[in-house]
Amino acid sequence: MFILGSFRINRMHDSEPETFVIKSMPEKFSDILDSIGVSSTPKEIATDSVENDDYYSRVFSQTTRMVTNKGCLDVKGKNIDVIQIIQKG
Amino acid sequence: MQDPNPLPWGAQDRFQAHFIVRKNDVENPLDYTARTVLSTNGHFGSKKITAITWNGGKIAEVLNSDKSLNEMIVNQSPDDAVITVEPTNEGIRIYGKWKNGFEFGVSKELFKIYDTIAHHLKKFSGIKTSTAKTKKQETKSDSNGESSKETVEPVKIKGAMPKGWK
Repeated sequence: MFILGSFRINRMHDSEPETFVIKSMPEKFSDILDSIGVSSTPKEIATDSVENDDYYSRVFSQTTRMVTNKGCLDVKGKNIDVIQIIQKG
Repeated sequence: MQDPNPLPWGAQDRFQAHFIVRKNDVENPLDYTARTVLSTNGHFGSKKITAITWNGGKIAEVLNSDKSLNEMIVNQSPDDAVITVEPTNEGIRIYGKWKNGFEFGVSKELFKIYDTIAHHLKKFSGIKTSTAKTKKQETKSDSNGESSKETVEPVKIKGAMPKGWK
């Protein structure tokens, strides 16, 4: 590619980092919360009491039967105490 | 191309975040159960919410009385405006609809809505809420704590050091 008197080689992957960190769902969600100004701490999976209990009360009809726990986050300085991420199936 | 015969088992690309207020031993679970009922205009992409009402137990009445909360929900998309509140043994859960991996997240406005609902839940069940006043007190105590932190001695590690340790 010729731009203003110099040649530039078009490298496709220049903008992509060579390494990336694999993050769990709570860590990803914690980053989302950080971006909106909410501080939170992702927790190790299966360490919170809310993970060992039913995720739905079954009061409503057609609630999902099979779900997978993806982990929890502790939220600081808000009325919400903890956030749990779940996946369908 | 999408698989024409998808497997009927296994985890799907559908995620949900449950915003939980910790409360054990809910006396009457139906009192803490509520869901939004939407009034909408239009169809598909141009579908707009005109009004919402909370349907459910006693907490629904409390949430219906908060006009500013309902105005905030009306400004959301029809998917985000469907909010459910229901109690389980370990806490009261607030959640929306299932979302795929790309859509999964929470906006500032939506988090504020969930936090306001959590505030009403705490107030309704007699749990201490997180308010601006308490935050001020926290910052005050933090500033006091800074001076005290300087005087705190570091914790000494007890026990014998391994052989060869200098």
